[in-house]
Amino acid sequence: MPMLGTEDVMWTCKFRNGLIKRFKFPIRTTPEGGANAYQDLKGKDLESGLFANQEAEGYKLPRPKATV
Amino acid sequence: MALPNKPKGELKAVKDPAFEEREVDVLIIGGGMAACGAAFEVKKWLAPNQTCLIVDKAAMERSGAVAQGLSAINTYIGENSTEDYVKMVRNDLMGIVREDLIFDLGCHVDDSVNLFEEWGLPIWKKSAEGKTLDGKKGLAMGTLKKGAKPIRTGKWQIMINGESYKRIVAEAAKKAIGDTNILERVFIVELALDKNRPDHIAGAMGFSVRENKVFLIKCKTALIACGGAVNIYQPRSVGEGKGRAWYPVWNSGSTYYLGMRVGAELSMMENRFTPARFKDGYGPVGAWYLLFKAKGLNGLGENYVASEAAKKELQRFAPYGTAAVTPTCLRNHLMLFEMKEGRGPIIMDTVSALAELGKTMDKKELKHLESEAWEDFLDMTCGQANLWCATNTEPEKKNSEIMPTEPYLLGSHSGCCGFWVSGPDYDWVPAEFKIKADNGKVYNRMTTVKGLFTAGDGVGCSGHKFSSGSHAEGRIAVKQMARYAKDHADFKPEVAMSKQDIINFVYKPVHTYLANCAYTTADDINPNYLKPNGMMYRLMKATHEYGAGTATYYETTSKNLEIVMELLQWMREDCEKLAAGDLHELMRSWEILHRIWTVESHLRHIQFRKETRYPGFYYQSDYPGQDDKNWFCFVNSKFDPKAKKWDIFKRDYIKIIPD
Repeated sequence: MPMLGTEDVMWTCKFRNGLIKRFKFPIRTTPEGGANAYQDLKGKDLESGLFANQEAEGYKLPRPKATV
Repeated sequence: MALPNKPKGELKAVKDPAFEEREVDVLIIGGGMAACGAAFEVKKWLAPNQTCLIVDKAAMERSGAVAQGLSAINTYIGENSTEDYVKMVRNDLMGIVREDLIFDLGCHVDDSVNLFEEWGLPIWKKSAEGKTLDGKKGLAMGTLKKGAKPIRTGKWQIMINGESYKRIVAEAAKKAIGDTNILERVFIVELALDKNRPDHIAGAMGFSVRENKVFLIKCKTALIACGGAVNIYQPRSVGEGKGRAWYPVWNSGSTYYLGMRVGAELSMMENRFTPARFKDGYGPVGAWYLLFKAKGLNGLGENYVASEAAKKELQRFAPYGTAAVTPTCLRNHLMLFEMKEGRGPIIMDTVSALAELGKTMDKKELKHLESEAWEDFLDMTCGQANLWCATNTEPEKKNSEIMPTEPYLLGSHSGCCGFWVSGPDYDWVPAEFKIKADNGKVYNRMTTVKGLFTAGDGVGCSGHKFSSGSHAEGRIAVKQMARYAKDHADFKPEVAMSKQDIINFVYKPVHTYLANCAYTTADDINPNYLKPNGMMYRLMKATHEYGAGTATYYETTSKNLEIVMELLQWMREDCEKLAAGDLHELMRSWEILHRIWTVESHLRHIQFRKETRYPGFYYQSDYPGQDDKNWFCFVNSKFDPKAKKWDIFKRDYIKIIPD
């Protein structure tokens, strides 16, 4: 049976023979609702192959070092 | 006197549902990793006057293949080269892949993984002493983006604490696209072409699974990202185990159905994925093989993959079989080879693996190792942990059986069926891989239907994207959709069907039910209709027996295929009489139709490709082995929505990345 918290999930596993095992695993490192969706970020060049944040960070798209 | 018939579901369907029409520039259909990637990226590229909408059959927080979580991200390029990534995918899929799509994906996938970590997904790190740090402890080493070292299980996989992986990804997606642009619990069942331009997408129609309401959503451009196809073959879990499957049961092939019905060209639909997993519970094997270094044993207790017989068998499939990493299908083939030779079943030796790892560990570390072994299941396939409890299996004391499952159709995992889409418009991409729109421009990930895009399981010929790659591909596609919508600002989508036509079409199973249900007293039995549940069993029986299901050890023949194609045709005919008394049954009615079309396309491709390209996934016994001379090519097919005819043909394979 799971019990979901904001930072961890806890499980109780009950065996047929009565053995019980309990586990606790982390599920996230930030507060719930805290994911940055970059709502204010606007891409500039629609013709490039870059994501908006790749563009903002100056990422250069690689090309194959050699082709057939 | 018998009681009158009553629908069984809670939400009764009515004859005259409400109708809602909307119009947007960019429509995203789906809610999994690819659709969430698209939802995250879309508004960053839209002008203020452009509009978008995401429509999900379920709720984004727990929809798609990652709903239950994952214990690893299988594609993270990191310190590796993108060229090597292409070569790995090419070898695993027996040589025939679209290298432009794979290389392009490899250039973008890490950006999505970096975002997941930033949003709060715990990624395991390696400490300076080489120890594993999970959860928040991993952050002490910094982020992947700043150069921290992940825990690699294989060359491309990294370990995570991923029970809430999808919740985290959905949170960012929903915030980015905004609540007013999200429509959940609406099942899109059919696309519509434009009234004036029959080669152009114009919208999508569907219904709410929570209230009696039909939708028409008109759009300039649409993304189909509704996952792969499950329960198209009889699963190994039947009876009380029904509902357990490797891929989530709600993936009904809608991606393929929606696209093929409007004439989008499919590619490599003959490819399938038959995962070998912990038997009956579908627990993942990756961490056991790669992280815990467990070995698979045959029924005699032998490490069968190291045997001379196995090596000899693999040589039959050179160069793929003799490559450093054995392709997934051939690993299955070796298992089947052992079982057929009478040396089954195949056992995962968890006992020896944990004992070996435990040799250098103190008590606390040992406890943590046990916890990791359970987390691998509890984070993504808790049913397998349930099975371990039910069978008194402590992995350090008792080994478990592994077994190839029933076949699945998908394009993001170790399979590559899907649509033929445009590659990116770069000079190194061959012209044959670029699809031009009417303005002469190339739009990356656009299908052969103008304005219709796909991502994740929908993109053919480029497997091994997994969760991270599907997210990245959704982002790639949606940027192109924003560009397409801008370039086609004057296009005004028009749908030929009237409001009543659409209601009659979408609600046909409801109308059939209501018109005939009074005739009998047993709800599921009626001379004038059939229920989707019965059709599901009929489909599964046919594919199981004739279409290379588990019944025949994945073998089929030309004659078997001929029989199953006729059965499928009759099933499609009988689907005209599907009946739904409630909204759940209406969903099931449409899902079974989507499944029938999808698996029919799969079998049509197997019938056409006269060789066995993927031994271990399926065998065309009339044409055993690979025939590179005639079949080292893509197999593509196309349904003509007007003439209602199929066309199936070859397309040349073009190698881009040297060996």
